[in-house]
Amino acid sequence: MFQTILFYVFAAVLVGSALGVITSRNPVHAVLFLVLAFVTSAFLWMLLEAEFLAIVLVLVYVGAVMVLFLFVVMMLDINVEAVRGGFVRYAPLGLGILAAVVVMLALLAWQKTQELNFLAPPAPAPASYDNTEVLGSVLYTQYLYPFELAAIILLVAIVAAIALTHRRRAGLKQQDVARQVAVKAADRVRIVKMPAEGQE
Amino acid sequence: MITLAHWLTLSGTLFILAVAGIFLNRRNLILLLMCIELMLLAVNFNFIALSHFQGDTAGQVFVFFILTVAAAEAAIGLAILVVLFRSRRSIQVDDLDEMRG
Amino acid sequence: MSSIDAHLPVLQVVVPLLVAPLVTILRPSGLAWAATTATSFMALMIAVGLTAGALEGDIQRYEVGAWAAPYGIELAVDSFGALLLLILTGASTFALLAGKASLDQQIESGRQPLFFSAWLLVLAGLAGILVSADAFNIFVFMEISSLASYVLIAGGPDRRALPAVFKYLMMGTIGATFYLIGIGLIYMMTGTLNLADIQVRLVDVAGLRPVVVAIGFITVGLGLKAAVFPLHVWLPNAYNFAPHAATVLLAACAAKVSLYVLLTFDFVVLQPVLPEHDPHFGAFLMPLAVLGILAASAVALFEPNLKRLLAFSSVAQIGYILLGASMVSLPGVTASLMHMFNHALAKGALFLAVMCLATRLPSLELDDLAGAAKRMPWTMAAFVVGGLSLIGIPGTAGFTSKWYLISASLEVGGAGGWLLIGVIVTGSLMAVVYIWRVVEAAWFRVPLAEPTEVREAPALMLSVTWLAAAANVYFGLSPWLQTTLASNGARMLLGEAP
Repeated sequence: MFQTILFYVFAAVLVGSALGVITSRNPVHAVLFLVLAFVTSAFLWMLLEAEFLAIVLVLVYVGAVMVLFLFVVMMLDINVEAVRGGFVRYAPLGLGILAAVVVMLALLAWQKTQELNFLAPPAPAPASYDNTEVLGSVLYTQYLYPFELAAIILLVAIVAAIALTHRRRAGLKQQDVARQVAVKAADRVRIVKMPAEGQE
Repeated sequence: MITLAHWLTLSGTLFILAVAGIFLNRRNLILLLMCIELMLLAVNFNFIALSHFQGDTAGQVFVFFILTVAAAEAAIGLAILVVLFRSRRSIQVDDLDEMRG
Repeated sequence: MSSIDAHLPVLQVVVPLLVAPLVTILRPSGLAWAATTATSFMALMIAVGLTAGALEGDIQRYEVGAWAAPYGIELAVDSFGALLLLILTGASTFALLAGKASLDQQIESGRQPLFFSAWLLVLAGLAGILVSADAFNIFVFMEISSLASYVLIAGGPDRRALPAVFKYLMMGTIGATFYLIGIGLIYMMTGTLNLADIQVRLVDVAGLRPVVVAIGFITVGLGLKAAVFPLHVWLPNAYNFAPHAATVLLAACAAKVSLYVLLTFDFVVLQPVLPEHDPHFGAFLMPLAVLGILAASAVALFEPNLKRLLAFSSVAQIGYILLGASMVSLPGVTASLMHMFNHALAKGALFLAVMCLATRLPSLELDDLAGAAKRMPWTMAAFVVGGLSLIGIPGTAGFTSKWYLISASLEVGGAGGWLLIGVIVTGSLMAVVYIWRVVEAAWFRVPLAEPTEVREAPALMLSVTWLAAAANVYFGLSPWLQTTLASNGARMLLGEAP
């Protein structure tokens, strides 16, 4: 019973904050709503006994990715009033798509899943159940190679972000080792022969 | 009693809101990125709920990867926005159409 | 098999992957280029080795770390995969070899090592999709290659590339999300994410609505990544504003690899399981393919910019590839696979020629091409050979797949078959017109102002371009390679014994 109440409370907050993300006028508010959505999701994931991912979501997502968003939004200093111009223009289209998908979802998720029999809620895990341990034991055995591939995705992200935003400022003094090594005596000193003055 | 249907409906609602957000905020690139993040969150909800009800950890492992991908996507998207803003001083889609060609 | 042969599938991915971080620290940029080109060439040699194995008709399997299938990753290279690996590594090597001068012109030398690193990551990601046999890894590799390709496109000097690449990022991510929702629904019904297990367990739940919805989501998601006709809007600008060398690579293989995933998923996993798969697949994709051929060719007819013109032509060619596959017959799928190879040859040669033009001309608007053939006769001649292959003139590679497509349509029979032939012929005629527009501008139009010094493109670039053009003629005259690989691949997809 307690869990049911928690579910409804958190679900309401989650949907409310998602609405906030897509309708708030100020991008900074939108990011903060997104943070709220992620934190609420983390609580809901705990109800699903996915404690490890819930913690990861808060630490990595809220702690790093959302801060990155906030940082970029504030750095870019967007003109708040101008941003919202298209809202009314696109509202009918957005609402139409919303309605269409809601009908589809109601048909599919609600009606169909009720009929399927394997969806009975599982018994709560015993107190000795350790989600982190269970996840770790498959992540480093069965899914070891996909796990390493995920690391490569992060490598791609690093290379990509640096390749895109890296720039040399004009007038910045830097060492170019390759040029220093390749330098020859002739590049450094030029010997000029000229007659001395007043010798004749 | 919280059934799987409750969770799937919640995740579906979240997904629809994100899709609606993409259509409502077509002019602001950074909000588009945020809506994508919401979409991926909804997908993660699906996987975690299913993993719970199936009693199988594969779904949670997949969420692990989706989180990685989403973070990388966000980093690259934001990097593009920063470069864009440097050259244009604006991230409004309308302003970006000027030099069509 | 010697010992190294057995490891080729994993080397195909690992070699570029390991070189990628190394390249970022190589200075000067010429060294980074040399390392990247050498790696790409090595990848090409590995692909040739794998193709040799595939030509013998066996599927080359590899267990990473020698762990058996459910725990380790299983890699598998069949004829279809080998065909695309050949395209991928070949295009990459050609583009790099030819592209040195063009890249130096377009990308400042300080950024080049990072650009080449992203290039190798694209190569590794796409190769990874082609060799892996598992839903997990395909998804992860797909993301690696798309994330890295955003950098390739945005790497050029043209600031308009940024909005284009942002659009690509949005569409690509939405495509990936749709794919994930589909995988999630299948996970709900089967409780597994392994492709082989999915196939076994889907039998019990095949007719249920969530499975059908899942297939819909997966098809749309992959269709977005593959730029199938109504979902192609990201493609023209992304190809147009990318650095010219990157366009060669992406145009030759990026969309095709997504099509590979789509076809493998549909034919290998779903077709044996779902009783009504074939009619649904055909009925859904055939109209899109036909519309794609006609609409994209029509846009290309009026496009004033050379690169965008060719990009729209690419959308039309994806239509041909889908058209063959949507017939769900052995000749149809064979034609589809052959067209992947032939289109990569033709578009590769065309975009290489475009790169030659771009190094010497101020812009690629058709109006600015006026009189280019007089100053760059060799480049334009190579362009014409590529164009003829794209149209499908007998004696070029493009002809062979058009021929197979038409005979597959004949096999469909009835009014529908003739209608399809009509579409193929109309599409080819439109190709004649838009290629002719370029030829007309380059040969017969008098330049408005006398350009100062437009010379022939650099020798290396030109010779590689001619090599690509010659390949079009060679594989047109003796199409043994693509025919064998495509028919083996098609048999494998349709589950018939080779």
